[in-house]
Amino acid sequence: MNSKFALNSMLTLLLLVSSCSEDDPEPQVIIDLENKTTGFVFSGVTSSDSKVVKYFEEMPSGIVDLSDGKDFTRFNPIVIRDNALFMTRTDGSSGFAKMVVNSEGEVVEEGIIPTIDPESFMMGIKDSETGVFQDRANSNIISIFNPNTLEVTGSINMSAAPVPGDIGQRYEQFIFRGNDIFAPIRGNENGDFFPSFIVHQANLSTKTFAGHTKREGNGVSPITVFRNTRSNLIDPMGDLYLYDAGSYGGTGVAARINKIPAGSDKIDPDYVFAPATVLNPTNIFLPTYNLFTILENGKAIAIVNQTTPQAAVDIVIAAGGLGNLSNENLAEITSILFSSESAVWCEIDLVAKTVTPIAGIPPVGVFSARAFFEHNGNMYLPAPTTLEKAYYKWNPTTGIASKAFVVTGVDFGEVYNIERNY
Amino acid sequence: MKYLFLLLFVLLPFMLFSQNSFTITGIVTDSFGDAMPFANIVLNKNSKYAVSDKNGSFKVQDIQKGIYQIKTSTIGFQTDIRTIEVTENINLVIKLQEEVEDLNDIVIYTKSESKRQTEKAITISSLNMKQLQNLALGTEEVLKTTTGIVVRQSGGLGSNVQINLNGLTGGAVRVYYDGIPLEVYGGGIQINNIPVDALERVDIYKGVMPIDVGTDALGGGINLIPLQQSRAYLRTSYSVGSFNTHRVTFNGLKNINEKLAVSTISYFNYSDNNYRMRNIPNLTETVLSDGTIVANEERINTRRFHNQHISGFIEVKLRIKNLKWADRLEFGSSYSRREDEIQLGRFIINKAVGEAKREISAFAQRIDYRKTFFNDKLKVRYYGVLSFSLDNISDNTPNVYNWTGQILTQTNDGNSEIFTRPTLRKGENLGTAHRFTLGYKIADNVDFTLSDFYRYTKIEGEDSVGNRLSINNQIIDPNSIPSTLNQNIFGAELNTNFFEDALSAIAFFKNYDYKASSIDILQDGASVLPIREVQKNTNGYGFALKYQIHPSVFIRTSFEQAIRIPNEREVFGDFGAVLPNYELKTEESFNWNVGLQFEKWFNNDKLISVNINGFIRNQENLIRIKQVGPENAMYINEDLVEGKGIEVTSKIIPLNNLILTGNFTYQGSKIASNSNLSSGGSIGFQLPNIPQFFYNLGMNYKIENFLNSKNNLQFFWTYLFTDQFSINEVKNIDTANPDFIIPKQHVHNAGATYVLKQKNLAFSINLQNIFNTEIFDNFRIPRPGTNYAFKINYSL
Repeated sequence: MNSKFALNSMLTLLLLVSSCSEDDPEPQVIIDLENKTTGFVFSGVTSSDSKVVKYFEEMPSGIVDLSDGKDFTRFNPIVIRDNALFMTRTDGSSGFAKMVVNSEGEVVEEGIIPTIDPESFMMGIKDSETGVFQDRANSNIISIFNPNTLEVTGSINMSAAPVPGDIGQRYEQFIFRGNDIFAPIRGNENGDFFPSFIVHQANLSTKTFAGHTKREGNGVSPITVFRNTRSNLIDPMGDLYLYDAGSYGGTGVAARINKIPAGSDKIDPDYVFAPATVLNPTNIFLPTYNLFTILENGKAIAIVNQTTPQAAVDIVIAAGGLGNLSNENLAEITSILFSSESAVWCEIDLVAKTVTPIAGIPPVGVFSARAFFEHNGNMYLPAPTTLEKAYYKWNPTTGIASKAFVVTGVDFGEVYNIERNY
Repeated sequence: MKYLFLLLFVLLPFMLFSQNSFTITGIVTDSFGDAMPFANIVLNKNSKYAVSDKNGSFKVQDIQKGIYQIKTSTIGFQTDIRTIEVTENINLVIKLQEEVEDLNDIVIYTKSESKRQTEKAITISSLNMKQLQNLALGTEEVLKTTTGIVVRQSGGLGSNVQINLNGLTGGAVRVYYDGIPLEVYGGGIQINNIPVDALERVDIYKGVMPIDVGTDALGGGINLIPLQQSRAYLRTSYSVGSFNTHRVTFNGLKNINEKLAVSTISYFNYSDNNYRMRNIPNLTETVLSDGTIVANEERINTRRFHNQHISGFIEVKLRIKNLKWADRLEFGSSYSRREDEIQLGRFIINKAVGEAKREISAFAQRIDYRKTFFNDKLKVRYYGVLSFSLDNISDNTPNVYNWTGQILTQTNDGNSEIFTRPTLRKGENLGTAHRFTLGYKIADNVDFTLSDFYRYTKIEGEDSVGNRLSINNQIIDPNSIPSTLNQNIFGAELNTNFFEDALSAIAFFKNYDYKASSIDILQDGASVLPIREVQKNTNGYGFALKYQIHPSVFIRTSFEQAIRIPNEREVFGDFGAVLPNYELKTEESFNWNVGLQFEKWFNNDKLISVNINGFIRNQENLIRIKQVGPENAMYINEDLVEGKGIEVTSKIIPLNNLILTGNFTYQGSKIASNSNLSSGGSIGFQLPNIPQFFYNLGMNYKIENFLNSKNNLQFFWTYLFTDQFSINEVKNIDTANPDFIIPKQHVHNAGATYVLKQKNLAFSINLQNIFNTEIFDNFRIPRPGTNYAFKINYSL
């Protein structure tokens, strides 16, 4: 009995002493385990093309050093939906990944959708419940999935959709208008090409192929289609504007904005608008534009190539004129054009078909930047040059542009505002 | 330079101090009276020793009056021990008797040609493969125990091997077979299928290469020296191991008469390579009610399949010696073949490769001529190779396999498993290489050497499902248009010795000339066949110094401005997504080594040996692939990479039968500048996928006269450690993304050999990864768990 009493007393004392300990935990703090819903994800590129990623709760300014960011083998977001970044898998394996910013501000993988082909790049998301992607191993199939659960829920067989020649069917974008999906296909692969811009159409309700429309070129030259994801392509009137890159290299097929009017599912042949040619009619080598998006005011912006670099002109002169250019000359010119800072950010009036350079942003290479973003009514436009890798803040209402921040530590990448769906 | 003179001045007293009274000279021969080069002659006092030269002659100087025990030994012969009294200069004739090969462990330092190579002014690690020939190991496994080398494989026996030497990798490190680039032999023999039995030794050149071996190696090279015995022998072995692995070797030499000998080197390898991998992603399928096939991914442990490797090599050589016009003339004819099922691409993804494969058959002819003139003052060597090979690659199926070997319902529209488009390429390659070396002894301590290396390669073939070009309105297969490569590398080297050979100095110059031509794949639609030619000419130079401070200590330093000429793919592209870059510059690297060796024998049976080597590798115009435009890539010159590191090689013999070894490497390669990235991109970042710290420890214990007075039993154990590293380019490994870090790896290997000398037999068992730890290779590809190999050797 005494021993039990002694034991109980000791235990009680121990509890009392313990409860009075200086190590007594502070009142419990409720830790927010929810993923971040606002903020900015910056990505940069290392010299070996791996990526470095860093999250900022608030918009940074001045010099932004990314060298201490989190490394991934690749980090190429295609869509932002409900604060998550959807992209090809970050370790280079086959499939898509859904990346979120966790409560600690760390970019982490929340789930995956496996594919067969590791080069399957294209995905589009209509809303929180519905998205589509293409596995290039089965290029006639558009798969439907739930972006919330990443569950594949069905598919659309597109084998009836026309693809001229011996070209693999690769969708370069999925654009949603209601339950309709418009999907431009790539016109060249492994040296083969077809000389038109073709858009396939499917319907999400019926899960069927719904038709196609196309823009013809000159019948000879390829019309290139590049990915322009995270862009708004539908204006307040419901008109859909699709981007093609044209056929650069002196072929005369300029990149166009292709209009599918509201209520129609065909490219309007009467709407002819080539922004680069409008900006500079003598720009014959690289009459193309990039990063096209429609703003809330119905106007659009894009990087539009403006000039032909002197080095390319010199090659033409040395060859004795355009007609004497060899394919090798054209390849050299293309290489020069891709690396030359000959393009400018422009505001585009889709109705008046005018192109106006935005003042205050330096010229850039037309394909040197990959993504813009929007925040508090301002557009943040990338302007990577040989001097610095900067983003510029541009207010569409005031038309004023100013430098927002400069990225250092790694090469220029992209910035994503996870609050906005793109 | 003034520091060098200062150093010499300081060290001069040590040299002057080494004057002594008597000299022992002599010659070492075999039982037939033939000279025995590289025999070790060791006196039991005062750490005096010598190594016999190519004529078997030796000289031991500065010996005090007294009684000495002199011990003469070399591999394959019984050790001669005799007692002599030195009261005057002595001349000896020592005749050694042959013996059955004894077993040993993985030891770099032996008194042999390997030892001689290792102690040159140029930094070389030389592996004496004859000491390893009883072991059931491949050459690539042996290389893993060397300082500064990381050997990466994509699988088991025969799988692709990537060598990283002092931080440099890929084309920067050349592999040679008998001094000729391995690829000239046609692809049938590679470092991943040569058994240890087929090699005399392996010389590893750390950044600086002599003119009579090197070509355009940027970061050094590995020279595989085939068996070079001159006495008659017959040796065969068979090993069986895990994953249905079988290896057979048959080597021999017969002296027909004093002038004529016939020899053969041959081997055969077979393995299913079906080792188990842990926790890998695997693709499965489910079918929805509407018929939609959904791909799923799971993690499984499974065995590899479609990973079979078969390879064989046979070479017959006829050796003629002691002719008036040739000291040695050797003709060799070889045939090699390998068949590889391809299991995966660069790294593990959720599906396997189930049908793609590659087959290579190669014929090669070799000729080796050596002659000395004017009392050995002028040495001439010509070495030539002519090879023809058939290289067939098959990757043309719509089937999709998962890691259980199951063919999925979904097919692949691309009809290829490995490449971006299907291929059934049948390549026909012609290769020839010639090296002419002329050495002249200007004075007793001055040698001058000229070397010229010429190489020509022609590659052509056909691909029934490959890319096509329209030329003059005709559709052609670009594979059918030959690509050619002409390469000439000329070198001059001055080798001098001072202060009774205590100081060695080497200076050399190299000229690189290169011309290549290939069809220009961008010229689709051209009116004439678009052949593009590229020509380059550049120079390199270097030097090496070695000073023997003390009989037990030497220091050395070497430098080379090394050059690597861009290869065909880098210049001409790949006929696909990789665009040509005809303006690509040569890569340059400024390679600097500084080293110190201490080696001391105690009572002739105890040894402490430590070799410390520091190195710097500064690469300019590093060639790497870069995205060009949205769709293509191109090889460009870009980064300046600064590499540096330190290696420590140590060996201790504390007891007569116990050998302890330790090899440690710490290295780093960081981006120093990046001309294409104005944001200061990646400066200070570590190059990806390269370990920085790794070491191995070894122990070898021999029980002599075990069970029988002539039999030896030997146990060995090796521990290999590789510190964690990232497969991404990161600034700080401690804060790197753990998803891309290859964790610390600990591998224990062990084994035993038993030699029955009287029966000419030897047995060996090797256990690899005995604790079955999870280990990885290139880009996190799983390596086998515990596996074994048992080998039986018979020799006459």
